[in-house]
Amino acid sequence: MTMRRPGDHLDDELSGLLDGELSADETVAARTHLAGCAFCMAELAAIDRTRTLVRSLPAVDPPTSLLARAAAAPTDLDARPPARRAAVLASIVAAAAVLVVLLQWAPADRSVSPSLAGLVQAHATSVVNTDPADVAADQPPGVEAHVHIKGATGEAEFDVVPVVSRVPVAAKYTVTTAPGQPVADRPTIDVEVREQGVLAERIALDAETGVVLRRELYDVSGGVVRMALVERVRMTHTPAPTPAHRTAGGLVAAPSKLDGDYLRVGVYRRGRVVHMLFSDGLHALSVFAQAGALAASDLPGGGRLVRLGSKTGYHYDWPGGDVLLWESGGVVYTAVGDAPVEDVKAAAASMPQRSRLSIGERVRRRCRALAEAVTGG
Amino acid sequence: MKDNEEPPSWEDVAREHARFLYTVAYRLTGDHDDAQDLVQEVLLRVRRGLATYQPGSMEGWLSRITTNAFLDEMRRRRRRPADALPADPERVLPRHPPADEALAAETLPADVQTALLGLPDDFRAAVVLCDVAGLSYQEIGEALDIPVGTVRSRIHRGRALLREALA
Ligand SMILES: [Zn+2]
Repeated sequence: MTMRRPGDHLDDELSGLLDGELSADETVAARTHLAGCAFCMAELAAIDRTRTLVRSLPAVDPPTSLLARAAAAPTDLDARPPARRAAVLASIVAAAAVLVVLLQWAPADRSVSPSLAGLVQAHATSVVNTDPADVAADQPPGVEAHVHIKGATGEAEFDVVPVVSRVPVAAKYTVTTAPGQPVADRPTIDVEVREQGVLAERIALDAETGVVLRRELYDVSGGVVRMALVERVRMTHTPAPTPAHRTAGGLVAAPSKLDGDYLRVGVYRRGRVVHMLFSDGLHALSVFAQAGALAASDLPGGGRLVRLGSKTGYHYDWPGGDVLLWESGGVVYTAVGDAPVEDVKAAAASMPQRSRLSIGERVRRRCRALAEAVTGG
Repeated sequence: MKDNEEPPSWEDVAREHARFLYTVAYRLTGDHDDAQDLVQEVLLRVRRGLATYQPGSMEGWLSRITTNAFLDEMRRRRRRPADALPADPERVLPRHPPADEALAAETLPADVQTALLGLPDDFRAAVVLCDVAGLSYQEIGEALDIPVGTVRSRIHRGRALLREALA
């Protein structure tokens, strides 16, 4: 790291800032400089565009022959003068590897390719109201709202019947509230949300019900990443619906909590899909679970590889936020969130993984049992 | 020995991580044949190295092996000038389109890949590990055996060169 005099332009701090790799002090210094320097602001935007281009490069499928070829190749280990038993085991394991490859690429009955548009719709229309100022009555009146979302990747509109939640605002946020301007002819409370001292969001809450009427999410340079605006509100004079807590039917154990202080609000069954709804007090997060293997080849274009803890998944955008998709233990998960993307990724990565055996593990065990039978082990 | 204490078998690794590996390999090499050779080499190293794998980030471990195999291959090629990448940047970087086309032209993945190939190997490795493999600066530093400050510098220089090449 080079020493920089105050007044010098920013350099590789720009990449550090975009990657979230600056210390708190460096972040404050960089943002202070950016606020007063149009040159560095333009540099930041240009580097951000370039970074996005590389990050948007699509995943590349390996040719199906590749793993079979690798499975057949000898290793130093295999090249040792083999005991008969080890040789048989090695050849069976190699055959099993080819079988696993075939299983992975062959179309199977249980392969799943989630309908991303349908799941996003299910998430967006069950958006949770929020209560940082403790404005809502114990049983607030029901509301029907028409939401218009404008994001960097497009626009979307939904009719929403918000459910009631009493989830406290996560400790990672600092919120300040003040009376706000009316939205859709409704009085509001203006909520300023800071994360690590940086303005992350501005939210207008319906003063009577706590429903989010407008939400603006900012990027590191203070630009608006996306905005969600309720254009019409109708009071329904029936109490707002409370979320259901169905069992997940043994498919998954719905955790009560995910990383980032996301608390479980409800669990729904939608056909063969289990919908787990979480909230951090300001944002909703839906995790959908479907039994099966992820049919990656049927996924829509535009997905990027993403790391979720020890798993690799796919990352898509929807106008109101991010969609993450991954497979674990015979279950395909789709997470849809409207919080800053790193928070959504952290929460998704903390979903407990099911300890069911993978196909590969089952094939391997069967082959080992076979090998032991063959060699009298 | 209990099953959950076993290291993962190499075919599990291959199945679960083939797409991740292949994508990183293809973005590093820009060529399907080279990417296959690289993944093949990585899988061999994985088969030999699984016994030393410590539970933790499988992608971090694989990225380290992939990058080392890639850098080894690049070093090998540098010793054989006939196989070296073209030294003339015009041969690997996209030519700038005429000004009136530039406004309308959308940047295609192929252009980004070509620009990546125009980067010095060290810069390309840092950018691909950050933006394709999704590793943290800390993890990249460990993979390439360089300080975190150098990681930041190489990523930023790499992006600045990409920006010029794609302008
Ligand atoms: Zn400046």
